[in-house]
Amino acid sequence: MPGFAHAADQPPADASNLLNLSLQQLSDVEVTSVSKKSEKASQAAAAIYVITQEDIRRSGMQSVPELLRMVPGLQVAQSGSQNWAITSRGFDGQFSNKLLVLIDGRTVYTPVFSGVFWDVQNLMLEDIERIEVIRGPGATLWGANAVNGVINIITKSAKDTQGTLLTGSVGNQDRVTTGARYGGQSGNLSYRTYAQYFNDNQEHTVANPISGATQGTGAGDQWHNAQGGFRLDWSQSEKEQQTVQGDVYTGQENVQRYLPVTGSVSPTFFNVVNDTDDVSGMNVLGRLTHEISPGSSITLQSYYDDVNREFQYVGSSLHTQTFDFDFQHNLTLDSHNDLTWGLGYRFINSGFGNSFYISYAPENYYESLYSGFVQDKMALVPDKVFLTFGTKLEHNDFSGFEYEPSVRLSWTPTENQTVWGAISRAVRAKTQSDNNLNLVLAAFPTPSGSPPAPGSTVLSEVGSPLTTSENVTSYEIGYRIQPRTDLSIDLTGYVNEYDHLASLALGNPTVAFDPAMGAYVFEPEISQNLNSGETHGLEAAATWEATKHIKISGGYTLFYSNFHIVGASLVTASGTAPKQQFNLRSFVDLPHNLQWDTMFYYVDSLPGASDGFGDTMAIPSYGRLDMRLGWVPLKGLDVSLIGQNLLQSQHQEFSPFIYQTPEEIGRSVLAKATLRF
Amino acid sequence: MRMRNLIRILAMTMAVCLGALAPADAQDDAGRLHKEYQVKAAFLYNFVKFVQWPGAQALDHTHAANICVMGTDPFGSILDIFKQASSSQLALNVKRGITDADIPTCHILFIARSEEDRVGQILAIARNNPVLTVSEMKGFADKGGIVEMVKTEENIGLFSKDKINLRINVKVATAEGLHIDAQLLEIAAEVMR
Repeated sequence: MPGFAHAADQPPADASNLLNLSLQQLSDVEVTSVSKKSEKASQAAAAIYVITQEDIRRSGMQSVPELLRMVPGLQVAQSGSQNWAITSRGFDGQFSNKLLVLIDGRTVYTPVFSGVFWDVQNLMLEDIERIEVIRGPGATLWGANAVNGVINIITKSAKDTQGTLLTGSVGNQDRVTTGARYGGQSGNLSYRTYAQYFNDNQEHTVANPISGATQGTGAGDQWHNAQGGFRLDWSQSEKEQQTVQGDVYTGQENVQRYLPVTGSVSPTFFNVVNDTDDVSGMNVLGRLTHEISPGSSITLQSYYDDVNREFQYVGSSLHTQTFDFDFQHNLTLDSHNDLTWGLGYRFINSGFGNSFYISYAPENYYESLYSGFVQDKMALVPDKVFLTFGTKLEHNDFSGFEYEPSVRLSWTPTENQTVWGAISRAVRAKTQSDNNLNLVLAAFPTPSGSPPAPGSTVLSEVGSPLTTSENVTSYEIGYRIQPRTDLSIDLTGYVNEYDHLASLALGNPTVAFDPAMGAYVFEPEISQNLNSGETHGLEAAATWEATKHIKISGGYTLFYSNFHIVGASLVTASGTAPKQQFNLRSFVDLPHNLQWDTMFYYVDSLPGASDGFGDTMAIPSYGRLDMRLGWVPLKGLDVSLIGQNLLQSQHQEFSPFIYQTPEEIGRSVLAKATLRF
Repeated sequence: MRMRNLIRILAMTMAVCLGALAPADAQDDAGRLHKEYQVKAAFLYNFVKFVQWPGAQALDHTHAANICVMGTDPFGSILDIFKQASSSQLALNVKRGITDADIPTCHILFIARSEEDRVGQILAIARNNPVLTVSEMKGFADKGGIVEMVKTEENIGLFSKDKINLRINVKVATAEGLHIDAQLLEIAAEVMR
């Protein structure tokens, strides 16, 4: 007996009109479902950019940090072989603490080091569904430290990664990568497992002769890393979905370091050492989504994340364990209100191995973070005007209660254009680092004077219990339009007002002693939050499908800042942001299954970057040209030849990270093959 | 300074100004909900125009076109529009609840997702007759079906629209003695020869 899955009492009137359409017109009719339409990204009241699988495949980039270069509003600078300084809307540096980065809902931002360890986020790029980048405060939904943006890396579900995938690449200067993934299905259960390994012997040339190392010598930064993982998805019914996923990695990185030492150890007040960092970690995440009734669904998520880093010569080590529990409820209150609320708890257990260079007091500590949020999306005019307002309330052991409210309004006058505006507050909550970190910055001869003192002075950044959280009030406005079916333009403008920005103030010197260094004058730079200021800028993105075989994308970023600096800080350096950036990318499909992709990126100069030895230096602007030639000789086999940084043999992008040599990034060429069956 | 204040004023205005906004157009919610199947039904109707059946199955004013649905019918009453669309030149019949034995009488056979487990069996029977097999099952064209209707998301920037694309297996069609017009092949997203 045939049943009717969808029963309409009478066929709707416009159905017969469709019979009069030509074949081409029929292929162009929009069939998006009502629920999907109400969540349209094109109507979102936020500065969103999505990096698609096609962008990932055709941009030629081989890692997540490199993929982020195409996003307007983001600043991506490779400081060394394993180091990237990435931020959104200013404040770039090693300790980029105003950007939250998540992989499938798990945060990879390490609060104890105020940044993301990009060198250990080695996902298989082929298994990334998309990367959503939201510039601006995402605090209401995502919480503290999403001050200037949120990056959400979303991997494909297991049922979209079935079968076997083998990949390998070989690059100049001995870079080799290999990867394998297998996905299968059993009834309602889909799964995949993967493993990948890379070995990079590329030595990035040392840029700066100030340190004594000659230009052109190797920077001693070979590294290798192996990562593997799995994902399981299953759903017993349409109303419930479950996911379990996990990764594990281990690696070793050679790093050439310039370590400050007292005059009794070396007359130059620094030692050049070839250090080795050991990194390892694992994570497991589970998520359950359940539809209680139409219009009401809950999501439960829990994960465990373990991060290990050992700096052999420096003598410090870091071990962080994170336990996170999250609950979220989406509820359609009535035809005009969509309510979302949630609760979260995170427990972080941190163990630090202290050394002369980096120490925490106490070495081992744990902290709890409690959070709750509520948000309502109100349809003021159905399908056209939406007002979203809400707040997040958080409590952490160091900063107490923080609230982060936000109001957003979007107006869609016609289906192909949306205007939006938002006012939000976000907080970079203070953590253990702000309170208790002691970080040696430099060593130099003690200035002569009375009373007599040890001959060496060691300058250190020290935390203080008097530090507070930093905060921002952000005013944003945006406009998005699809003037023709083949063109889309997205514009965003913002003004950010910051208060209680991190600052440093010179404290009183004391005499200290270390078994290896002897007696020395300890000069503290005490952490405070006395800086403030504002930034404003413009971000633009456009995509044009010129023909069925040619697609052109572009992005532009404009950034201005005015800081009121009471005391300089490693984090508030205003000289590390370029005033302008832009990129232009073209993807061209040629006959015989060939693809020719060209990408150009321009980054303005960084006027006030640090040279790593206490002085500022300007890093000149650079233009980067990448090219990719792809070929599919047989079904399932993808071959490509990729050239990166083709315009210059080498160039510097950022200040060196702490204790590291300034490095230049060189031209590279690689050949890659991927087999699917 | 000026730019900053301007942005601030505009942002605050947006957050406050709610009055002078255009009223929404009347929404045909029921219509939107079934748009996907209206479009798929319209494609079935068009297949009658752009495909030629051989010999005894050829369509003309004396022979009605039989559009058959096998399995759980997702169209509901949408296919009834075909009765209205029948003209003096060509009559259209809609048959539901088709069994394997009925297959040879069909010009177009729409196989519902409910029959996914035995699609191989159905296609084996269809192959011996000039039947245009159509389905929304993923990978239907790879399994030997002739027309696969795929709901595809077309994106440009953040704008995205779901549309119905066709994957047409001409190899199987030709083997059955069917001729598919170039016009139909032209708009297909993928043609398998």
